[in-house]
This record gives sequence, C-alpha cells and structure tokens, in this order.
Amino acid sequence: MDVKTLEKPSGISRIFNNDSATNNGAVVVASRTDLASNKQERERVRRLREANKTYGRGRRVNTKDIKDKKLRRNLKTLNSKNENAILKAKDAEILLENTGGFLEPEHELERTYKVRQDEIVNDIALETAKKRFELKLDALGPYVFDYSRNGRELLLGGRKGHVAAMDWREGKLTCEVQLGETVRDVKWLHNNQYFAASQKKNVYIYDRNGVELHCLKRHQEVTHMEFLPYHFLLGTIGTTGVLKYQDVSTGQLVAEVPTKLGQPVSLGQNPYNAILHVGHQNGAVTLWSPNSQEPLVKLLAHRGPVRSLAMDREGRYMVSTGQDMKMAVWDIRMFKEVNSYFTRQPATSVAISDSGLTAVGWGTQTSIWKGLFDKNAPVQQKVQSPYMSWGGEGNRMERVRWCPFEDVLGIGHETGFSSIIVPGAGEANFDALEINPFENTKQRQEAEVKGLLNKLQPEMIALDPNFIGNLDLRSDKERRAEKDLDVAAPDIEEEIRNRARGKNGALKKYLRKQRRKNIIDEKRLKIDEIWKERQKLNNKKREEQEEDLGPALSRFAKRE
Amino acid sequence: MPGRQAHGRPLTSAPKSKATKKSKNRSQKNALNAFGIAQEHFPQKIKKTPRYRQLELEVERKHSRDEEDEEDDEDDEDMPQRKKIKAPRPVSGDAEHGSDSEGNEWTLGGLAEDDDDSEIESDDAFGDSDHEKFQGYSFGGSKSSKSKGSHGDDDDDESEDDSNDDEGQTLGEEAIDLATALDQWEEDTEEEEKDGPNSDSDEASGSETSEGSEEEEDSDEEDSAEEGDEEADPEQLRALRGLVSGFGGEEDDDEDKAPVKQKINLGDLGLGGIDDPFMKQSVKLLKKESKEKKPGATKKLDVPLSRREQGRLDRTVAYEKTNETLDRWTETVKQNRRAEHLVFPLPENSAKAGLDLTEMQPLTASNTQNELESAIFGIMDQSGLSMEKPKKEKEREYDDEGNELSRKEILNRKRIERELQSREAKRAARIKKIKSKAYHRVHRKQRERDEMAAQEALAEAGEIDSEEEREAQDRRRALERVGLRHKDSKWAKMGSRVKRAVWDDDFRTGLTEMARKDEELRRRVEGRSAVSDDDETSSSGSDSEDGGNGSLRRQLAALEEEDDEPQSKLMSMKFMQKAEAARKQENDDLIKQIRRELDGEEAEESADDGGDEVGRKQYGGAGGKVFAAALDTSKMSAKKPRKVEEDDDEEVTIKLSSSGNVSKAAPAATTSTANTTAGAWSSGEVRRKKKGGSSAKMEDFDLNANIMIASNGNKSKAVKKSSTPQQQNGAGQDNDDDSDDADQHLPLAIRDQQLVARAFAGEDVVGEFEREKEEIAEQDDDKVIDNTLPGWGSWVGDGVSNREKKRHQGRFLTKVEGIKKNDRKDAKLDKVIINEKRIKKNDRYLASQLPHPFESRQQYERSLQQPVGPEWQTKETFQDSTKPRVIMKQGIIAPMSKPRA
Repeated sequence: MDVKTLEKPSGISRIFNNDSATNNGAVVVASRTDLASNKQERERVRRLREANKTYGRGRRVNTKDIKDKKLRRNLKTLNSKNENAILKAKDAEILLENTGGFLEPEHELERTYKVRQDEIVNDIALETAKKRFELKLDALGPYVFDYSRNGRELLLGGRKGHVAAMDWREGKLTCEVQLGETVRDVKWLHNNQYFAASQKKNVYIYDRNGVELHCLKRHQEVTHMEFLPYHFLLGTIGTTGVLKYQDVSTGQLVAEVPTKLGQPVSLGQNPYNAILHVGHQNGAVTLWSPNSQEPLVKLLAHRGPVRSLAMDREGRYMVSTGQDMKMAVWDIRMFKEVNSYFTRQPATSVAISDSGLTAVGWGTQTSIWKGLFDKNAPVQQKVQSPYMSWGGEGNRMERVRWCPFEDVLGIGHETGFSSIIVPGAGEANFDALEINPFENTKQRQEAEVKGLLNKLQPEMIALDPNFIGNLDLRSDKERRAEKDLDVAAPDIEEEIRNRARGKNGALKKYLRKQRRKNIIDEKRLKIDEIWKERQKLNNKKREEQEEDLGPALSRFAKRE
Repeated sequence: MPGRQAHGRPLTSAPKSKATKKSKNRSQKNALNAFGIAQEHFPQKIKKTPRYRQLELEVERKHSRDEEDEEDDEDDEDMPQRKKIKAPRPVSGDAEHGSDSEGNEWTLGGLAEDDDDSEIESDDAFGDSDHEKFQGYSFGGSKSSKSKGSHGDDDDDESEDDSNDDEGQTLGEEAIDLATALDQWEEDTEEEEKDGPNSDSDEASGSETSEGSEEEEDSDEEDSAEEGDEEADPEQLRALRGLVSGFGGEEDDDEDKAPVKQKINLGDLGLGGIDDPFMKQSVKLLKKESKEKKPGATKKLDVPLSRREQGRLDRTVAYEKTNETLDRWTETVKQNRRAEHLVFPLPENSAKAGLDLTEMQPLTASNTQNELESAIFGIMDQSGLSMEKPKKEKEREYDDEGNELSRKEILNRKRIERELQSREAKRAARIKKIKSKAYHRVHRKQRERDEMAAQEALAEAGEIDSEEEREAQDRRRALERVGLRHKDSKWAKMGSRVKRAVWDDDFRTGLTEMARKDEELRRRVEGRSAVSDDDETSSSGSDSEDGGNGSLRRQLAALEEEDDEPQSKLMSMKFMQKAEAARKQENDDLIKQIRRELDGEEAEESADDGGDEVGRKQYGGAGGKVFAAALDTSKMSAKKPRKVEEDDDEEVTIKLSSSGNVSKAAPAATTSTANTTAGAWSSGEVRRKKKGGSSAKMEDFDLNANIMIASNGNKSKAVKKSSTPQQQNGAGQDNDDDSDDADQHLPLAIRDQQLVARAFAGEDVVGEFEREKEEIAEQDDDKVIDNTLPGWGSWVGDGVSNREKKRHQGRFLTKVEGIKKNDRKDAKLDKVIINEKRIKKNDRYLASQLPHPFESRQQYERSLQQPVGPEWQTKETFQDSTKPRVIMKQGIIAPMSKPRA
C-alpha cells in the first residue's frame, strides 16, 4: 500500500471538454496568422483559463461600449489588473511545496477501507505515527471534543462533567476540571485561550487554565454550540430551539432567533458564509443568519430527525445524516440534492475535512468517504465504497472531527477519545498569516489583535458573503415605502453640542461653513443661539480672569 | 448738435478760461507748425531769392490796390491754400445776409479791421516770442478770410465792418470771434458757451482781436518772403474748413476724422536753413508734385497707430505665442495625468538616460551606424568576404509558352494541381478499398490455414513447445492490451493531471486511440465476433458482401460514372489533362482488373495484362494486382454463399445482443414501476429477487415511492424518476468492477431501508412541507387589499340587506406587488423553501446609488471585485495595488525637461 496523490476521476472528460471548446471558432481563424505568436497566444489563454478556474473573481467588464473615455481607460486597467492578479496567484502555486496524498490500492482487489490503522502506523514516519493515539476515559463518557482553529489544542468534554484541554501532539495537559454537571458541548473560542462549555443549565466560558470567567445566563440548556471566528460570535441552540448569537468580543447578545421547530438535533456552520444550519426533528434543515427572524432557507433533507450535518470548506456542499439511515449530499448553492447514501445505522456525527473527505460516525463505526462531491465535476458521481473505516469495537461514536492541517481524525466515543490517521485529509499548505499551527505566544497575541481589528459585523452575514458594496436594486418607490416615517428628526442642538471633533468643534465648523452661505433656517437660528450663549459664557469667563489678574495684567487674559 | 445749429447767437465764453485754453492751443500750434518756426529764424535770407523778388513786386501791387485789408490776406504762408479756398469763396462771398457764410465774414471783417489798427504799431509792439506765439492764429484767420479773386466784394464788406468797428461794436450779434471759435472747436465746449452774455463775448473778442492783429503784423513782415514757397498744411486746412462749415450749421463729417495730421516738412528734418537756391527749387518742385498726386497719397509714411491699438495688437500676438509654447506641454501633462505611477526624479533625468543598455548585436551591413563601419562592410563585400548569405534568386515560373507567371497565377496553378491529385488519390483509395475487401475476404481462410500448417510444422519440428509458449504469448498480448493505454494507466493519469490533452496533440490522438480500443475490447467482451472487427471496415464490408458481387459491380459502375463528370475550365488546361489522364489510366485499369476478377476471367488474361498494361514502374494499385492474380478464384465462388450466411448470422447476433440489452433494461423499468405502484409495504420480495440494481438505487427508489404515498401527487412523474436513474445506473454498472463492493452491503441495508420507510410512513413530512411552501408562496404573492370603509357611501347597520352589503364590498381595491409564484427562487426546487424577504440589516452595506463615474452596475461591482488586503492576493499584486501614485526619491529633483516641439 503506497501513499500517492491521486488525480480526480473526472480529469479526462474535463480535458476533452476544454479541448472541444478551444477547437471551436477562434483557433481555426488564428491558425492562419503567424504560428509562433499564435501558439503563445493560445498558451496565454490556456493559462488564464486555468487560473480563472481557481482564482477568478467574476467576469470581466465589456469596455468596448463605454463612451466616457476616462472611465473606459480606468476599467481597462482594472480588467488587466484583475487578470494579472489571477495569473500571479496561479503562478504562486509553486510556492505550495507540500502535496497531499491518499491511500491508493495497488491492484484491483485491494480495498483501501480494509486497511487497518496499525498497518498505516507501521508504514509511516515515526513522528507521524505518534499522532495515532487513544485516550481511555471510560468513566465519564461519552466524550465530545473540539480542536482549536490551528489544530494544536484539543478540548475534551465528558458528558459527566469531565473537561480537559491539552496540547495533543505533545501530550501536555493544560487544564483538567471536573465541573460536576452535565456537559453537553465544548467549544474553543477564537484561540486556545478561552473555551466555552455548555453545561446543565448555562453556558460558561473558561480560560485556558480552566478558570471560570463568565456565565452566559441567557443561553440556557444549550445542546449545540458553534463559533464564528471572523465575527467573534458564539452561536448556541438549546432544548427550547432558540438560536442565540453572543458576541464574545463585546459580550453582547447579538441576536435571539426562535426556530419554532422544537428541540433541534444538530447544528453546523458554513465556514464560507458563516450561516448556521440547524437540523430539526422533522427532517428539515434550516439556514440562519443573525439578521433575520425567519430561516433564510428551509430544506427537507430527511424523513426523520437530522442527526448531524457538515458543510465543506468552500460552502458548496452539505452532508447531512438522518435517523432515516440516510446520508444526503446537498449542493447548498443551488439547493439541490446531489446524492444520497444509506447508512446501516443512523449516523451520529459527520465532519468534512479540508480536502473534502467526509467522516461519518455511525453506531460503533466510523467510515470515511472520499469524493462524495467534486466541485469540478459537472455531475456528481455516486461513490460505491468508503475510503477508510474504523471502529467496530463496541464503542458508540459520539462525535467525529477533523484536525485542521493534519491527516488526523479525532473520534469521541463512549470510552474516550481516539485519534486516527487518515492520509490525505488535511490541508497540506497552510497560510501562517491566517492560521498558524506553529505559532508562538507573540504571534498568537498579534493574530488576536489583528482578528479583532478585522472583525466582521454580524450584519455582514448573508447567504452571499460578497454582497457588501453591491448596488441596492430597490426602486425609489419601494425605498420610500419602506422608509420609517415615525423616526424622530435628529436633534440639531444635541448633535452640535455632543459631537466632539478635537480642536474644531462641530459648532465652529458649521458656522464657518454656513456663515458664508447666509442661509437662515431653523437650524441656523438654533445654532446662532448656541453660539451667543457660548460667547456670553466666554466673555464672562474672561472678565473674571481679568479681574483676577488686575489692571496691569488683564491684557493677558485668554480670549476665545 | 445745438451749438452749431444756433449759429446766429453769440457764442461767448468766460475770458479766464479762454486765456488758459489759448495758451494750450498756442503751444499745440507751435508744435505743429515747426516749419514756420524754423523759417522764422532765417527770414532775411529767403528774401534774396529772385522768386521772392517777384512775389514782392506782386505784393506791392496788391498792397497798393487793396490797402490795409489786402495785406492780411497776403500774410498767408501758403499760396496754394489760398487758391484752394477760392472755390468755396464765391459761395461764402455772395454776401447774402442771414446766410451761414455771412457770419464768418463778419468775423473776418472784424479781424481785418483790427489789422488796420495793429498795422500802425506792428514792429514795436511785438517781440520775437510773440511772433512765434501767434503765428497759427494769424494764418488761420487770414486763410479763411481772404482770397484774391474776391477783392471787390471784400472791399464792400470791409468798409461796412470798419464803420461798425468805429461805432464801438466790435462784432455783430451773431458773430463769433474766430479765436474763440477755434478754442471752442478744439475743446468741444460750444454748448456751454452759447448762453454767455453778449458783452462778455464782445470784450473778449475785442481783446483777442487786438492780439490777433498783433500777430498778423508779424506775418506781414514775412509775407513777402514766404508767399511763393509756402503751402498751407492740407490737414489743417481741412480741419479749419470743417470748423467753418460747422459754424455754418452743416452736419460736419470732418469732425469724426482723426485729429489733425501733420506733414513732415523740411523744417522737421533740420533742413530748414537750406541756402542753396537749386535745392530750394527742387524741394519746391517736389512738394508741388506731391500735391498734384494728392489723391494717391500712399507714398507718405503711415502714421503710427495709437498706443492703445498698438498695445492690443501686441497683446494678441504675445498671447498666441505664449499659447504655442504652453501647448508643447500638453502631451506631457496628459501622459503624467494618465500614468499610474510617477517616479521623481524622472527617468529622463537620470544618469543613464541617453545610454543604450541593450545587448550588443553583431554588426551587419544593414545596421552599420557610422561611415567607417559601412566603408569596411563595403570593402568586405567587394572582396567577397561579406558575412551575409547571398540572397537566393527567386525562382521564376513560366507557363507553357514561356511567359513569366505572376505569383497569383502560380498559386492558382498549384491549387489546381493539388485538387486534381487529391481527387484521383481519393478515387484510387476507394478502388483499393473495394479490391482489398474482396481480396482479404478471399484470402483470409487461406492465410489461417497456412498459419495453422506452419504452426503444426513447427510443433512437429519441436521448435516451440506449443502449449506453454502460446499461453505465454497470449499473456503477453493481454498484458500489452491491459497495460498499454487504458483509462487508469499511469500514462493516462499523468496526462490528465498535467492536462496534456489541452496542449499535446500526440497525447490527444493517444486518447482517441485509447477510447477506440476500449470500445473494441468492450464489444469483444459483449460477445460480438472479434474476428469480424479485425479490420475496421468490416461493418460496412458485411453490407456490401450481402449483396455479393452485385453491389461490388454497382460500386464500380458508380466510380466509372464519376469519371465522366463534366469538367471545369481548370481541367481544360493541358498539363492537368495529362496528369489526370495518367491517374485515370491507373484507376481504370484497377477497376477493370477487379471486374475481371469478379467475372473470373482474370485467370487467363492475367499474364497478358501483366505483360503489356502493367509495367514494372507502376506501383500501388497495380502492384497489388500480382497478388490478385495469384489468388485462386475457383474457391471463391464456392465459398461465397457460405460467407454470406455467416455474415447474416453475425448481424442477427448483434441484433440479439442489442435487443438483449434493451430487454434487460426494460424489465428493470417494469419492475420498478410495479414496485412504485405497489407501495412501500408490499415491495419486499420483488426487490429481493432482482439482483442487478445496486443498493443505492433501491434506496433512491424507495424514497421516491414514499414521497408518492405521502403527497399522493403525480404518480407518473415519480415513476419516471424512479425508473430513469435505475437504467442509467444499470448501464454504468456493467463497466464498474466495484459493483460487488456495493453488493456486499446489500441485504442488511435493504431490510433497513424498508424498515425505515415503514417507520416514517405515518408522518406526512413531505406533504406538510409542501403545504408550508405553498403557504409561504401565497403570502409573498401579489395581494389585493380592500380599502372600502363600511359606512362611507353606503348604509350600514341593521336592515341593510346582504345584497346591498355585498354590492359595496371591494369598491376600493389596491394591489400590493409581491413575488409571483413562478418568479420564486425555489419555484423549480423540490423540497426547498427559500425566503424571499429582504433582510433589512444587510441593506446597510449596500450602495444606495451608482457612484459617479460608472455607467452600469456591472462596472461598479466589478471594481469591487479585486480584493484590497494582503490575505487575498500575492505580495506582488498587493504591493502594486498599494503603490503610491507619486514616488519621490530623496535629494534634488531636477525639473522636467522642456518638451521639444
């Protein structure tokens, strides 16, 4: 069994498509012209097309029918800049020095799912082999867990109150506490300094050492938690079925949205657009943002409770499992069901890795699927057999999660925690400026500050995260109709008095600008009044000062 | 102008003002009359000329005749002026009372009269300075007053004047002192002075007349000397005349004219004191000449323009010049404005600005840069050492008559040749095909037999151990087939990973080859006879063989017919005909030969044909004939029917297999339909019987069935859905080797699926969902609101009939636009509800209107597409995008160099 990179199965057909596309039209005409330049041109076009596929950002604007010369020139440069940026991004791929690989069968009869962990461990490097470990915690299980964003730290939460945080690679325990309460879910916040644990009644926030920092009393009987790292929002949903968003940087409760579908069964976030997906008892999956009291989308994925759901990194596909022993793959941009698979038992947990591997924990087993979806394929193919599998040792699976930037799958089960090695699961090339798995204290601190500075507002969450700055397409009529007529007019006096603008106050600025125009309206009158008032005050002050200073020195009294 | 009209009234002015004005006038006059002044300096000398004497005599005569009055007239410096005045004189001298001219005469009379008095003391009263001062006046007055022709009339008038004067009344009521008038004229103040009292004017005139007389006396002295040579300044004269006529009440045109223009005379040039009589004469002549030519007075220098005009012209020119110099910068400015980045100091000012930093190129004769190099190259060329290859003489082509052909013609010819060749080549290929088919068919059995025999022979000889060797060979062949180029081979994978097919033609052909082989192999696996597929033409071949010889003959006939096609003009050319003839010959021979073969005649004639028709030099089709001749046709006829039978069989099997496929699919479809109709509860056994479908299919199918039950919707649609994927899967299944993997899970899974279906059958989840969707669609749809208020325009309360109530309902309806059901995003999506309501909180981040320079939404949104932060682009792109527009290096920055125009 060797570990190799594997090309996507649809490669060849795609190539043919491209080929036919190039053979149509332009190329035939071009062949008459100079061969060398023609070849170069073709090469350029090909490169551009490839680059566009991965790094393209929308279509270019047609500049030919723009009349305004300046605008036309500007847009032309814009187009060329975009093109350049795309090509450069493509060229920069050579800097991604690591390539991921998968298990590959040597002959037809070999099956990758039959490969056992000990076989893998025997074949791989020692350092990597260390990543395969088992934690036997059979007293306080079953265990839920969470990896920190950079995959360094692991947070374990036993149902019966056992919470432990550890640097799992080094095997160092950072904290371990017995909360003495039911722990339903645990979640790291933006870095490894804080974590949230949903306990019997409330959600608590602890620091790295296990010291309780906050009790979020508004979040009651929370069963599922998700953290949106770019918005610093902790989303929770409890037995009451109310989705709550808590801003962990300011401490405010941003939104409280009742789902009105009873106690939820599962929760997941879409890393692409920060939309939370909630799985319900009736098989529906609803999509939520903190900005709306109604679900953005509601889809019927299953015929029984949706036990678990997960979205892929690019926000294209959702995999959900239900009590109806079905695993459904949805395209969540088109909202179409791509495929559905059966599971022999209702799957309790699903997770999708950075490279698109899907881990499904069902019963006492975990199976890992490869190629459930492929963004490049025009039609998604149905996979016949899983990529890998693990378990069958009598431990009920509680939760499966992929460790970021590692070929490691964490599995929480009845009797503890297992970390297994799944070749090809992790992202091989990480961006250390974004998330750094090898960060030191300083870097962590800086990343935290930077993250806070770049924090996104909750209002920016929408199904299409690129909507910001787009043109509002409502008609004027609509806008007027929607305008709130009951809003009180802004109080000028308050505005002028309270706005602090450094040396030049708002009043002075206003007067400076308005005096020239000589428009007398209500606002102006009010402001003049304020002005006189202030003058009087100033004069009074000065007189007092002069008196204090005496006749000789009164000339030095400060004039304003 | 009122002043001029009221000529009769006395025009007086305050004496004070006059005095000042006079002095001013005087100075002006002095300046103008430079010549007069100059002459004053040398009065005596002039008198000595003979001409002078003549004039003097005349004057004396005059004097004797006219007495004092006449003297005034003679004071005039310039004779011609006087002559000129003669013309108007008679009019003015008519001496009609009440006429305009009369007033003037009065003044003149006054002056003349004064002259009398002055004459007495003339010499004593005035010094030289006075002479100068009053020169202008005296001349002016006298000019207008007198003329030689009107002596008699004047006498009468003067006598009258005299008497008046004597009485003490200096001027008549309507008369004006000339000096005053001059003053007034020059200053345009007539209006003010009109109303002045008579007495004042009288006094003033009195005083002035006295002054005037003084002046005239001076001139008297000079009279004699100057009379002949002096000419009145024409300008002055004209001006004066204008003045006169002005006082006469005429609308004066002259007044509009530019201020009096002066003529440059000798005095101005410093030649006033020329003693030479000849010179004087010539000067006089010259003056006369110029006078005669007066209408065309272009000879004189133009008077310089006024300062204002000059200034304006200067400024326009200067403006144009400045513009021109500034315009040279336009391009530079434009360029700099458009530039994305500007770096100062400018590159043109840098140290390396003018240097050519490009790579050194070898010198050739064409790129020599100086004389030396070109000279050297010239020498080298001459001595045969040139490094350039001699240019090839272009080959010229000539047609049959030896005329040179143009390029176009050559191309045409080539094209025609090519066409011909290809046509014949095609024909040859077709013939060969026919032949080869027949040939191969006949020969195949023979070959096989030979091979077998050879094998046996070898086996007997013990050269190969048959079984093992053959197996090994087979194995090798199989490996080759498997390993060479199939879909999952390393070659294909590598290729697809680097996307070779896009750029590598070889690879592409390889792929097509691979696909072809794949197809072939599959066909073999499916049971078609591999033997028939050996040559790719077999399928069409089988058709032709069905018909036996008949079809062959038909084809040959068609080919022959084709030859006789009408030929275009191109074909009428000689060389083409030749070439074609040769090819045709070949082809025809071939056809013939095939015919013969078919007829079974070739056995006898083959030898002859080989002898005369098919020579050694002929290859290709003709060469093949040798083989054709060798084959024994006796067998052929016998075998033919059998062969046909075989072929038929083949076809049938193909048909069967294809129908088999269909039938295989068809039952699947039927069973599936059966299943769906049967429902979830009753479908168990049927499914278990069926082995073909995979578990996944089953489950798809199951769900659909359940949905059907739940929704009780359109059955047919569901059936279709269930059946089609199954068929597809079934088709795909054949190729997949993994089907057994799926089967491995099957039995348990199916049972589970069924159980699940049963478990959730009671809950009408799907139906509920659809109902909800419907509801939401209804809510969002257009709505009609009834705004009718009960009681407005109708009666309400008890006793109002229902009919009446209904009548008033819906009188004021407003329609609220919503989202139509068909326009919903989820209109075509199954099992999805998409919220169509706008999310107001997101609106905060939308642009309320299109920002200025953009013309459309696309343009604007495109401008936002490119990210700004370093996280989303390469470092290079990021730095480019954040580079400041103007970059200045430290130090002294030299100014831009002036653009060269």
